[in-house]
Amino acid sequence: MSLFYLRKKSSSLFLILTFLPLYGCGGGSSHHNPSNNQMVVYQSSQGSVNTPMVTLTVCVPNTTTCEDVPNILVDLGSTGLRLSHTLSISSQLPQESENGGAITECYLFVSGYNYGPVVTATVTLGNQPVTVPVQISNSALSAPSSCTQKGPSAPFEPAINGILGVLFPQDDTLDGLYYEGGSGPTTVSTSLVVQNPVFQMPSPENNGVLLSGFGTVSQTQGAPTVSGLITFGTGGTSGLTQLDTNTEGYITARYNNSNLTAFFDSGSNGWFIDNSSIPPCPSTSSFAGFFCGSATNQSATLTGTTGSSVTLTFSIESAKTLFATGNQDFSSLGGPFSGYFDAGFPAFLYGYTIGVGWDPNTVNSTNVGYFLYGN
Amino acid sequence: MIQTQPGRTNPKDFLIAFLMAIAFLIRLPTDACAGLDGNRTQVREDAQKLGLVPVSTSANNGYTSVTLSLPPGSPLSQNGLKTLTVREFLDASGQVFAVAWEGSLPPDLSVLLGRHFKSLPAQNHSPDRHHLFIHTQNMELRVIGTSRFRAGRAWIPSRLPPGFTLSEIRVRTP
Repeated sequence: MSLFYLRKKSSSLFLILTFLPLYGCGGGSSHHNPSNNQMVVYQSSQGSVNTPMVTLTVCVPNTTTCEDVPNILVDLGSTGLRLSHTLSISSQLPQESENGGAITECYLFVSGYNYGPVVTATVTLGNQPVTVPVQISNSALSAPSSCTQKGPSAPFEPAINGILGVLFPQDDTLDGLYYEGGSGPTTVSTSLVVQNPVFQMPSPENNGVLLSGFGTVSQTQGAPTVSGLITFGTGGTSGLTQLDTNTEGYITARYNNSNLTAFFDSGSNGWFIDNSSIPPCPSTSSFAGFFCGSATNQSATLTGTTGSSVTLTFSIESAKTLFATGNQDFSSLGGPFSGYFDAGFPAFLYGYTIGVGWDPNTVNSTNVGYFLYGN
Repeated sequence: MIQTQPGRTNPKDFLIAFLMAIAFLIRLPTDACAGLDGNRTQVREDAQKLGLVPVSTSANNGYTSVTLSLPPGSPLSQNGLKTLTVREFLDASGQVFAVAWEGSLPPDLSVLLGRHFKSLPAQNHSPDRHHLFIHTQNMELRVIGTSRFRAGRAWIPSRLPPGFTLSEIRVRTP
């Protein structure tokens, strides 16, 4: 589809190897020495821009059968861990069942649905193994009509091997459609529902995540690649502003004299914002969905439900110009969406720490959490 | 529906089943064309299929719009945790030329897009999980949001009323 850009793997690898040692402010991976509650986050090597990835060790519970799975998208906009059926570990993870029927799920991303079995896996976050229900996205299965009526299928392959959804609340009961033995949608026991694995971390690392250290990326040309850190637990939040969300996980933005629905989302590859004065790329072009004009010195004030706010300053550069550089990470890539302010992965490339957090004791009844922003 | 079992059909049941079959056959073509390109009656049918009720109608310059919402106490709302509001836009001839929706409950696009649902690609390979940008020969579709909340809009470019701007296709007025 139009909202991403594939290039030959060999040329992007060449660019990384060639430019990384010379690049001063792009946040090279060699700078990061993760602590016990941290992992390195890196730009995808599978061809899509502005896509932050993590490598997770996935094991069959209580065995030594494991696989190190690279290119798992770090996603602030969904809840739970999902893996592609193409991974060899996927077929070895034990299937969950209830009332005599195998449990499957249809999970609805905005881009489309993922359907497949719910299994149990032990995954290691930082140095902490946790065991959780995980969905296997299997695009080769035929999904129930209650799933396919929602829109297109959105397979993980070839761009990603999985998605680590770190949004609250603990499980995806509110978002997923569950089936037992192919019948449903139905309700399955809470303990069997796909979970955000961060909730299984020992306190105080179970109250959210921070993304940081990606450096400041050029607003005119981007960077060949970036890397940063994901931190489990929002403990070191001094200097960060807490923006409380409503029950649907969003805050508000004041931008261009409009009040907009806003959210931070590492799983969005651009700034998707309400600005009809920046020319969009033609809907028939390969850059469709992005801006093909530029705008510097943009400013937006994001406000939580309890009144605290932060001001983001940023630029928009033409997608055509940015993609022509051959780079893979862009702080100024964006597209139009009236009524909305989606601070996607570009927002993470201005030197600030951005996180999502919750009170583990109350979030499952209130569905309210918060974003964190600052340095 | 009526259950008919061999050997137990009485004439009254048969007549009802026959009339329902006729009614079903008459309804079939209209069902297939609701949502985009549908008419005022079909908007009400869309509401029923989505578990919504019409809550307001507004007349604007060159078009009218009907807003559909979850009725109070709907099981779909899961005690208020789930929301969905739909707005269908009808031109002067009474045909739906645009739809907008918003909420945490993803609507059946097969209802809202009507006959245009078939023109969606079966698979979307965008790695951006939180947008849907689809351009077909006759329809534009845009969706944004997280898994907790999403907003979408779809329209038929060739049928927009004169002077209509795309930013008007939304559930809430700016």
